[in-house]
Amino acid sequence: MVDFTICSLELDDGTWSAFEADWKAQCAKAGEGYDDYAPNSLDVLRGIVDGRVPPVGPPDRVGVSALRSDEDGCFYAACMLNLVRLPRLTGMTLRVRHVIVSPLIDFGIMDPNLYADVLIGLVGGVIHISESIFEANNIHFHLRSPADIDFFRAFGKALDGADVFRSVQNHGAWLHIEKT
Amino acid sequence: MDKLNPKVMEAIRVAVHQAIAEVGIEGVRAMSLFPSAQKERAPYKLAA
Repeated sequence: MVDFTICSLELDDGTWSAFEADWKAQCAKAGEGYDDYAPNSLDVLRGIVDGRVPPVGPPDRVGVSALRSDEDGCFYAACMLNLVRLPRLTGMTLRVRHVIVSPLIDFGIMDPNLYADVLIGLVGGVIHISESIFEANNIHFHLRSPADIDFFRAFGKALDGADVFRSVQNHGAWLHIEKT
Repeated sequence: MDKLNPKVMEAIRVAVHQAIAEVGIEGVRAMSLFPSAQKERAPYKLAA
């Protein structure tokens, strides 16, 4: 199993540049152009990093995180994180949107066995963030397609049955994890 | 991820493998996190 570290991507510390350089190299390795790779999602992520997409206001916060392999240092997934206070929920809620996998995974260069490791690393990483830099009692994963809903329905049911969180439920286009 | 409760990490691991077994590798590849599955491409640009 590949181990991953989830890290914040910022302009100032060079992590966003390192991420873009890595994904450009991954696209080149697959014979594809970076400019054509997930342009909508990457434009949203880029906009957050460079400040074009600010949070609505305090206490809301927004950021971009990526999953980096501890073995080869490559980034294998990225997502938008938005910390908000929602009505009728206890504590803050961390919303996870625009999740995308890296070019090497998407173009089928990497072994499909890596999919499970990436998904485990991503969910675990988001929960870790909800216990550290974006402290939240609730985590909501945005499900953008019927295939997302199918996968996360099965995932949520299994995770709910493990009794490690208060509840894990599907609500329309979202998977809700209530931690305590 | 080393700071995450091992019981939580194990529950996530089991749940991910169970979901993959249910939807199959093709079901995973059909998810929105795979840009090619969404045919997310650069928007067409009109000639000036």
